[in-house]
Amino acid sequence: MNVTEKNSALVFISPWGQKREVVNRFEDYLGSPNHIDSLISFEKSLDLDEQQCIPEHEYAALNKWGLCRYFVPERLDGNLRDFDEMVMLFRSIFRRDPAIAVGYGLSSFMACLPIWCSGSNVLQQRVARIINQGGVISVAFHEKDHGNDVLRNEFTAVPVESGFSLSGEKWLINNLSRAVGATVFAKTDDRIQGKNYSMFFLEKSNLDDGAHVDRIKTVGVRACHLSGWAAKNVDVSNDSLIGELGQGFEISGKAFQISRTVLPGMTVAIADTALRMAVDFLESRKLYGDQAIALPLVQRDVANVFVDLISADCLTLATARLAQVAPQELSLASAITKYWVPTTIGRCMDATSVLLGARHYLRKGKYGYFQKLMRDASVVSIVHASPGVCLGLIVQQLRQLSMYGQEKQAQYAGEDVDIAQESKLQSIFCLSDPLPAFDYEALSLNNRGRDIILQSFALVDRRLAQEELNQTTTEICELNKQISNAYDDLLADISEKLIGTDMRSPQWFDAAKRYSELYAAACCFYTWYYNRANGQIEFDAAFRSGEWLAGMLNTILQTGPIERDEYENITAYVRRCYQDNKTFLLMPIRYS
Amino acid sequence: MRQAIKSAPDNFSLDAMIKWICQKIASERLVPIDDIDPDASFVGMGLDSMSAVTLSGDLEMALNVRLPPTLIWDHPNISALARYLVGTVRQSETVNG
Repeated sequence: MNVTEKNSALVFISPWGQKREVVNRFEDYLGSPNHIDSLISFEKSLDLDEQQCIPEHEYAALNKWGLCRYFVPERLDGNLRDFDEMVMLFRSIFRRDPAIAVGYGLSSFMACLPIWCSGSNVLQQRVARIINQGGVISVAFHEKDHGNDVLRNEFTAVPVESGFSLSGEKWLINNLSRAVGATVFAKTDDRIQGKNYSMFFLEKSNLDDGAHVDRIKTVGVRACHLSGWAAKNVDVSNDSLIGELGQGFEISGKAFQISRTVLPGMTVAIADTALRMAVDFLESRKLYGDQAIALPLVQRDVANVFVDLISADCLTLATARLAQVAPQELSLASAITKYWVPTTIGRCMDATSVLLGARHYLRKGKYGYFQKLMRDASVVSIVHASPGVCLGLIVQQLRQLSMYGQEKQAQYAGEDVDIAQESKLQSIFCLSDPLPAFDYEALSLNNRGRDIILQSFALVDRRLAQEELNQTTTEICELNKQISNAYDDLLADISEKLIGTDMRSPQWFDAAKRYSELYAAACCFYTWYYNRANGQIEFDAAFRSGEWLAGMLNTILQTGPIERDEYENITAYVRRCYQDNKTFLLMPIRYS
Repeated sequence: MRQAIKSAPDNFSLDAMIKWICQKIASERLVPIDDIDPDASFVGMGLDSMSAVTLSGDLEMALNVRLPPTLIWDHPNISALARYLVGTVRQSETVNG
């Protein structure tokens, strides 16, 4: 909560308003991406991509603004307090150039997370100082032969008298050439699976003792420097160990829940720019004697992209906030976010490429930037846990989720209320509400069957049904019924048909996909429900009325195409945002 | 199927616990119970990180006690796990009266 004095009157600024001010200040600093003199411009970024150059000047300027401090918790003199603020701030980079966003420091953030969660106080202070001063650290986690099958990694750290001796090779490391340190995942014990890996923080001198593998060329994010690192008997001290010996898998399994939650949230902005480019083209393109954007088919496609975009916005803001309200449930929320959002953003990119026609394929000219965005966007899905890995993380929880889910459904089937659950939902979804500080120690490898999002759905849905309904809210009630029925069916399928079968079968993964879709639908519903009358947020009337929500739920549930009046209204809104130079997302930021 | 996961062992003796875990793993892996060696390591049985977290969750629900998701890694075979679970369940009963 913040109260400031303005013109001698006390003006209340909600946490949402404060976050918007921070993002607006950052946008002003960055300048318009359409102007070559701005810090990050489309033209310069396209050139960096073609040349595969590292944007050192841009990185230095971002450090000067203080962006690096958003990787560091407040308790360590950083600016990271709320994850939704971090998400919205980094969207400003992603909507300009995903390669700069990824290259600037997201690997530093990932590298820090195990230290913020489990490192000693001394190590936390040391790394915080490095990051706050603009230093870069890398994550040396994966190996060429094992990918996400990390429990078969072969890089070893053998205990020696003064610490550990490291040997092996790590692969696809971002920013190693610029790094002043790295977080390394290494095997420390041959005997016990799961407890035989540990994490280490290596200084620059340690990294220099190993050999840097040549730069690895990629299809997208070509301004990033990806390489590998080979170590042969590199000695590190005992105090480089993060947490306890043998805790590496558990530490990373918890810490990376945070990055799997916030990273997809940031990348939503890529699709925002893609849609802006498509609308720009459609406004000027003449077809059959009229603007292309006047065609009904085009309008429906534009509306579909917008609905996907805003759904991804709802889910990512929700899970970023859930991290602070219910951190013990982040294992599920992060896996769903990292699976569902890149899939949805990929669909947006495909649809906008169709809207741009042949121009999406060109490397020069007004829309020559789009092909770079498409290549860059594809990294979002594969980096830091692929869709298959994320679905696997959901699969391993489905049995418990189905049992607790069925118990909760039975409990709430009557007139039961659960004030505590509803209060938590309010904290997660009311975007102007303050958030509790994040508890890094509350993370868990699984949800223990708990899922506040779907298991509480019946409670809130019932409250809506008790209101005086209009045509739109009646439709929402109908769609909610479909969510509830689909959820019941899914839980029954899991407990009656899937349990006892091979958990590697596609049927389990299909169930995880369905669970994710229902989870996303419920998040969209709650975002509307808890903000429709929120005077502290400047939502459009079409959001408040529920019109967009009906489109979102219909799309996620695949219950039918968006109707003509809906896609016309949505397209009109999209065109207004485009003309006003504002983002299409829930926080309507105006481009500088 | 639901009962197969929710049902607890017949009693909380070590033998009953070992037999119950063997049954669970046999039904999970679709093999006869005689094929499950209580002293063979979970790693040797091919339990990966996903099944380790799942099994820990199943045991937690069936026994109604709070267990760490890393349980299987701390107790690397069925016999060791059963000894730990018997102790935990008895302690829980004492605390809860």
